[in-house]
Amino acid sequence: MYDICIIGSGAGASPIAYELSKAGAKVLILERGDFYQKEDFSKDEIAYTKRSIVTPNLDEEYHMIEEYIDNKWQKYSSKDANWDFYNGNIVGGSSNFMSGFFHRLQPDDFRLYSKYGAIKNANISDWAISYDELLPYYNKVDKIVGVTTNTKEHPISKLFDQCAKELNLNPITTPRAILSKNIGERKACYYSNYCGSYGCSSGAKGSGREALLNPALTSGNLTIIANAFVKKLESKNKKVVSALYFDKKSKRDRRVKAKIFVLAAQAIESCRLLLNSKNSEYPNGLANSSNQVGKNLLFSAGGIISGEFDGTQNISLNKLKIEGLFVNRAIKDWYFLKKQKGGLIEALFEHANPIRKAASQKWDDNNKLVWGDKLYKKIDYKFNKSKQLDFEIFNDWLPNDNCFVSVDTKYKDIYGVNVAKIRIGSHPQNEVIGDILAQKSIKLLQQMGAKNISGSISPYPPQNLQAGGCRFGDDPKKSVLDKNCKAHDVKNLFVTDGSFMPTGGSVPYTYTIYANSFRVADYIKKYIK
Amino acid sequence: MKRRNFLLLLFYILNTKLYPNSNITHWDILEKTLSHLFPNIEEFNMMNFIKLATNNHYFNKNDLKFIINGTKIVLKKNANYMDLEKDKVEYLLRDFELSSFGQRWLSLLIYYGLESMLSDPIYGGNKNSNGWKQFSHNAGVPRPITQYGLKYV
Repeated sequence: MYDICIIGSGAGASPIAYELSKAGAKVLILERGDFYQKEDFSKDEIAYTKRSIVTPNLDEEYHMIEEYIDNKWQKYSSKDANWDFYNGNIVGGSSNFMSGFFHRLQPDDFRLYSKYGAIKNANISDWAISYDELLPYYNKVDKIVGVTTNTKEHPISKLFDQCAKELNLNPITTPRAILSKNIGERKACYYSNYCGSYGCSSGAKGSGREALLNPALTSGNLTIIANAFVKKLESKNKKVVSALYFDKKSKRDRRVKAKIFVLAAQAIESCRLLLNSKNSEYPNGLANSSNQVGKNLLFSAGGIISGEFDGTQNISLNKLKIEGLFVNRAIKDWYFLKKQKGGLIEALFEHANPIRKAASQKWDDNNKLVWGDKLYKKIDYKFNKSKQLDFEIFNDWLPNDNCFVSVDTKYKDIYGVNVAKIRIGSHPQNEVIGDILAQKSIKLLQQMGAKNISGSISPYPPQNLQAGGCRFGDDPKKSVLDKNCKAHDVKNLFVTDGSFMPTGGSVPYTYTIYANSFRVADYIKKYIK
Repeated sequence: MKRRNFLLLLFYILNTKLYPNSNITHWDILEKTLSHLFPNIEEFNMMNFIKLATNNHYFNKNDLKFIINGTKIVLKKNANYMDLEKDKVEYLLRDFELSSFGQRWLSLLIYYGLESMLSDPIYGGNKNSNGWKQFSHNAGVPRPITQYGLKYV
């Protein structure tokens, strides 16, 4: 019998494991994927971005997706569409593959309803805690995971600053969860030029595995079982008593008992597991007396606006071609607009992945395919005579009745478990705000002298930025979790991935998930005493 | 049918003759087409990469089915495809591109051709790093020493 059993091992799981194992509790992690260490990683574009190596094989595990097409919701399988909502299913989860843009939420992000009021067809709600309650834990993440503004910067950052100031904007240096100097077993960033989407080979990136789980393992109190797919949480007398999982190595179902269970499998899979864990006590799904499990799923709204630099601007081609260094610049001037929530603009170079970059050149301006020497010439220009600066736009994905997770009653995965069904409806306001920020981005790129500015704001959800589905709140009828992320109606179950968020803010979620998980860890420490 | 067996079957189909009385295989059509889309494919060991990639269980089986179907249609468009001169091939492929199927097929071949040129040579293409050299590309380090993310330790 373990004290704590955690399902998942990413940003929501690793702080719990770190804090509780160091406090002397016997902690078990069940992770569906394998256990890689930094020595296993390489910058192999095929393995990490083109094939399903660190995500499930879609023939075996998949989701059903519901999209609004031709005036009705139409369902299709992610294996046919060849896109899915799995992210980094190895120990440490998707934090292994993040870019590590660590912006904090703002105080008013915690009280969006109070600040701006209701929006038609959106389910805006204030958070159950204030910014001040999370602040000490952001600071804790800075200290333990490592967050810095000291990573080396590319010369274009100066041009960005200069042009932003000319437009009376206030450029900020993006904090990164990347070490700029050696700390213990983790070595400083070596500016590989292949950061996001790849596991870090020096340990500089603050993944849950590198920053928290590996140190926690030295306590002797943490056990990690990799390749363990949890099929069901089993409850009795309003308590979870065991987790039933499939051990991929022995190819057998196994069962493990613990006093407390913590679910952190990323928003969609956490909701799916709760809904698939229904029994006579919880006929609508575990922790689902409110019927809110899976509802108000969040992604991040926005898109990308890009501009091309070819050395004719206030920066030479030689300088532009310097590889590996970070741009590390963002604009928050429009984070809160006067009457509505705005968002964030993050500047970064286009990813260095050569296959993706070359493949982007196979179309001409008339949407005809390009091949032969003409294609080679286009690729050469892309690789050697220009550099693309991307402005990624992050704005709130408004919670709404058409964005939720349920389980499909017909389709099952290879383990015989019903797959998640994800309805991906985007609120119209998402694109309205995205367009405002796109126009601001275009102006700044123009000021920088960029050519061929293009891009789009999309209603499609980015699959790597998930939250919501188990929102926290004080009212058990309207929320799944209490303010400490314990299920209202289960005595010993916590959910600590991004699922708890009622609104997501306009920044990537990982930093906030880490901070909240450290906060819940403190509560669990008191709870088990 | 399990995915691996299904892929093996598809891979086997690529090696079969398109017509009973013909010596032309799907590979022949693919090689001639890729040679047209990419000058000097032998410099990149492109066909070797494509053979290894399509025979691997990580390869997208829908893409493989699509590639096979496309070779049949190309031969239907002109039974003498294998003997066509460069300008005739260009004409045929541009004509094929006008259909959405043809456009998707050609787009897929260009994509996998680029994979063969610009992936790590460990996958059997990008011979002597010629693809990277052609575009002065600096590979990220560490480079893989096993295929498909197989763990080292």
